[in-house]
Amino acid sequence: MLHVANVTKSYGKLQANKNLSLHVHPGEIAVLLGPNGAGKSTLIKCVTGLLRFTGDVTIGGHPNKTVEAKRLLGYVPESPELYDRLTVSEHVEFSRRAYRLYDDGDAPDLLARFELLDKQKKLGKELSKGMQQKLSICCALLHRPRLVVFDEPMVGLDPHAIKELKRLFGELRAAGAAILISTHMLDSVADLWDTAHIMVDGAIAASRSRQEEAGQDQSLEELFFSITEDRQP
Amino acid sequence: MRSPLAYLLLTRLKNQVLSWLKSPAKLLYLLFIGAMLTMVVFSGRPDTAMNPARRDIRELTAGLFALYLLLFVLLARRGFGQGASLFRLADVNLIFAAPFRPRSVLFFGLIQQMGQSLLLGLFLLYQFGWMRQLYGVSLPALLVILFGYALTVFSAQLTAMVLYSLTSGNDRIHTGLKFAFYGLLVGYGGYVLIRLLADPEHVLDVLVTAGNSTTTRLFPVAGWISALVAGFVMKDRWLALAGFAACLAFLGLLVITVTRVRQDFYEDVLLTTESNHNAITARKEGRLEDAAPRRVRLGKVGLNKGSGASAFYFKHVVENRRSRVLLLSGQSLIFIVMVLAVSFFMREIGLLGVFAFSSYIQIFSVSLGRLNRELLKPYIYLVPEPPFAKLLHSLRESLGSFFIEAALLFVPLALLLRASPLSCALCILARVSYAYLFTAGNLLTERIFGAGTSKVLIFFFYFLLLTFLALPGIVLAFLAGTETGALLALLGANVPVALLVLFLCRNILQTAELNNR
Repeated sequence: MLHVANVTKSYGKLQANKNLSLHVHPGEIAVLLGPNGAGKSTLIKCVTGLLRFTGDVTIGGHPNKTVEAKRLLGYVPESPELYDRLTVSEHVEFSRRAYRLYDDGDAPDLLARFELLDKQKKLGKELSKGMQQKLSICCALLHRPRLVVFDEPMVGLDPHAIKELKRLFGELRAAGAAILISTHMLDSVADLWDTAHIMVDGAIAASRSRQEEAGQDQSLEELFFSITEDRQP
Repeated sequence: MRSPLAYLLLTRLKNQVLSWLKSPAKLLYLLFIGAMLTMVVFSGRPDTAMNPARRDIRELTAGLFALYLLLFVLLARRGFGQGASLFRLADVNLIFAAPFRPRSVLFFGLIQQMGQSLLLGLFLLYQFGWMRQLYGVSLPALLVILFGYALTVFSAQLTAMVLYSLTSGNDRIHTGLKFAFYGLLVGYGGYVLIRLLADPEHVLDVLVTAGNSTTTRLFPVAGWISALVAGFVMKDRWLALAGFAACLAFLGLLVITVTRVRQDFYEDVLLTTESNHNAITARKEGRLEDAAPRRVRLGKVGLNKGSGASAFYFKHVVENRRSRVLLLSGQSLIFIVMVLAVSFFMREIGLLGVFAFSSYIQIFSVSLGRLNRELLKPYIYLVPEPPFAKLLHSLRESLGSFFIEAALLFVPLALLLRASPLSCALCILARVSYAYLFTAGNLLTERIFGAGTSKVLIFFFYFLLLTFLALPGIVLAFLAGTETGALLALLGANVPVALLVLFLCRNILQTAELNNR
């Protein structure tokens, strides 16, 4: 579903992503792990078409900046980007109309699961950070995307919402969606991932699948620390 | 050892200067601003014997009183709401919790605010040209006018802080002070009205006389500051001294009130500092109308229309409805009032001259509107629609406001200048064409620079670009000869140039980068 080939992103002389390649298949949860500043969010923004880069990114076989690719994509940004002057229900309506959905999509179910049904008349700026994050998740999943990209999705969420989100990851995987999650919190995705990519200094330092881990002496956490701590000055 | 607060002030200042020196773009921009200022101040200095002031200087001093009064009231009245703050969020987090005496912290805030107030008034220096031409204002007098402006902002901020400190949590004092504050204003309004009713034939003369009367000079704060400025401008030493003494006494009283009556003022400024921080962040992100921390009237809920790219337009309609004062944004209304006020004094230069002035001011008021804000959020890039369709629908919301703004400006101006309905209609259309020309300039700047380049450099380039884009229209207007011909020439040149630029930028959303790093 998602193919990233030789992606490089530079800001002046700084290379935030260095010749990265990875794939996420339908029904797979891939996680991007790495310390702060490793380049995870930059890669996520390249994948979602928000940044210019060199290399190739395709979604469902379409280049990521095409209308066809965008139709398949759902994106939950690191910090919730809502409109201050729209209510919760209007955010949902806007997403529904922008994606040309002629029904409510998964809106009622999502709003109920994230406890937003009674907050539909609240403006975006009146919501707490956690509530904004929940709404951001609802808007991203409304149109039933086939690739969902989450950038640090658990930050700011309460325990109930984290539990619900984890359950949602499982449901999306079972429904055949490809999922890419970026995080620096290993614990939060420990029991979820199918493939893990560890990023350091803008490059993928190691990749491991769940099957591979079963035959290894070193756990993912141990591998992560052995890579990231080795590189510290 | 030097006081840590003094160290902080000086280090901030030093780092600010160093940041200018380290950034070539900022330095270039500063040099440009400096060169412009020097040019305005020193170029074509008139021989006063050859070019005596054309208008009564009392018009200017009355106008300055009105400006200072408006500014003072707008800023000081915040003391009855959320209050005002002399501090930044970093001060709250780092200084308030540190072992400093509140009085030292207050003086730190006061000195910091003084610098900011002075910077806010720098735009006045660019007004030197017309002030000198019309009223024979000298450079030292202009500096005193600037000082008066800074003093007004500073006094108003401090007044708001004291008002909030005295009134928060005490309804009786709150009501009493509010009554006194607005009572004084109503009283002064009544005084001007009575004078106007006594001589309705000579409105300007009455307003000028009232603006320079003893009652005005005695009117708290704005009157005292205007006395100080008028005394200097009109070479009345005692008037200037009296105004200055009254201001000093008032500021001293405010400082004593804070330090003696309400030593623990931290709580009073906390909420405002946070609100100010949010407002500044919103402005930096281009959310100007959303920056004001005011209550939003929800009205009808729902977009109710739109599909695909047009959903952006109907979303903007809802957002605009919740952000606007009447039909336009507060910022647009301020620009209209400002242009109308200046045009009133410049009416001798005729409709075309006023049009040129209003178009120059328009450069600062036209932006990409809501598209600017969309570029900072991911949705405009993510929505699966053709980029040109998203661009057009995002710019659509501006059309109505461009027309309303032009009409609100040129209908009264046409009446004032006794222009024909045809000239008025052409001015409205030409202004709308400029609005789209400047919008196109904004887009092209965004297209060329996108993310990651110095904002100062972008701003600099933007001005150069607008000059270049506007040039064909200006040249044709000069060649046209007549007023109608000039306005038609502007229309005929601006519209194709704007359309061409818009077409060249049609894929901007395909190549743009989310600019919020």
